[in-house]
Amino acid sequence: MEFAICGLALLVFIFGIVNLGLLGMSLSALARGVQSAARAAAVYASAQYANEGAFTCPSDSTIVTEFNNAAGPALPGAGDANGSNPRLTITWTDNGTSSNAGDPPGLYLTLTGAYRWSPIGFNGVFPSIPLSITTVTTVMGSQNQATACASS
Amino acid sequence: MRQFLARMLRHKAARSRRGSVSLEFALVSVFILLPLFAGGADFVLIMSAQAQLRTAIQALDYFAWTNPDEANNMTDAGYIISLINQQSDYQITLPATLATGGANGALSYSCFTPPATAGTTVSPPSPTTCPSTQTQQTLVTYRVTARVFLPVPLPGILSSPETLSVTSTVQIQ
Repeated sequence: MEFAICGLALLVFIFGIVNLGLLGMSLSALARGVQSAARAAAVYASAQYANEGAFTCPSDSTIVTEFNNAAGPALPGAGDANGSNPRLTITWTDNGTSSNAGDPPGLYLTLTGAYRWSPIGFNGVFPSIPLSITTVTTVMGSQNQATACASS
Repeated sequence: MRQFLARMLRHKAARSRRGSVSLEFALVSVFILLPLFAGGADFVLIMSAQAQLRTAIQALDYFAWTNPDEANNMTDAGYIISLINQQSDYQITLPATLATGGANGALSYSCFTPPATAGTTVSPPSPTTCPSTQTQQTLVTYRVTARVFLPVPLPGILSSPETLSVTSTVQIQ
């Protein structure tokens, strides 16, 4: 009887440790994916601008692909549509060449990765845990061209 | 009579054993399992907030690399943080001072011996005069903080809200 009780506690403890490790891995992959995708978007635009003097905004699918490549197998494939898990929210802020109400000029990408993580071994006991990481990157500084990037 | 007494004693021992098992279960639950889950919840929140802070400070580092002339402009740095705060679960702040007592976003300078091809011209302010054989490098230091509200604070160990902070120094020139 004692073994049953202690065994149950031990089992919960072991699964808890395993799940904390998995959670840390998912969180780390989410952060890495968001940071890398945002950075890739900035490089995508600046490389075009350096070569051609103009640029097009990276598409949502390009950013999602960069996220998936960086996050690796630790996360399932991401999307930018409602219901995707992980879901990327892509927001562009274009302040143009001059300060807009005190905001610095330039084009900024705000990228949020949201992931509902579910623990293994506790189905029905614990709800999924929402994880979210947001970053901002300066895609282009002050430049003289219209840049209408669509936010998803 | 002797058999009856022996049976009674065995029955009493079995009841006592069941009672001690219940007591053990209660002790294990209260002193091990519950604190374990409570600590796990706190741990997850802190880990999540710390990941967001690291991402935010990396965004500031990229901002400084992209706009080295504005790296110590805390209005612009604050704009980056405000964009993050619009969608983040945690409200990140830029305290006025660093942990070392200097100003947040403060520039610092040092001299280094470059490779033969390196040549860096540092625009003012440049308080350091480097020897002719060395090049000056400019660095900027940022610090971001966030307050995390813990579901189960531990008095004296882990208060709620707990303030987390991350500091970084990057070379911008």
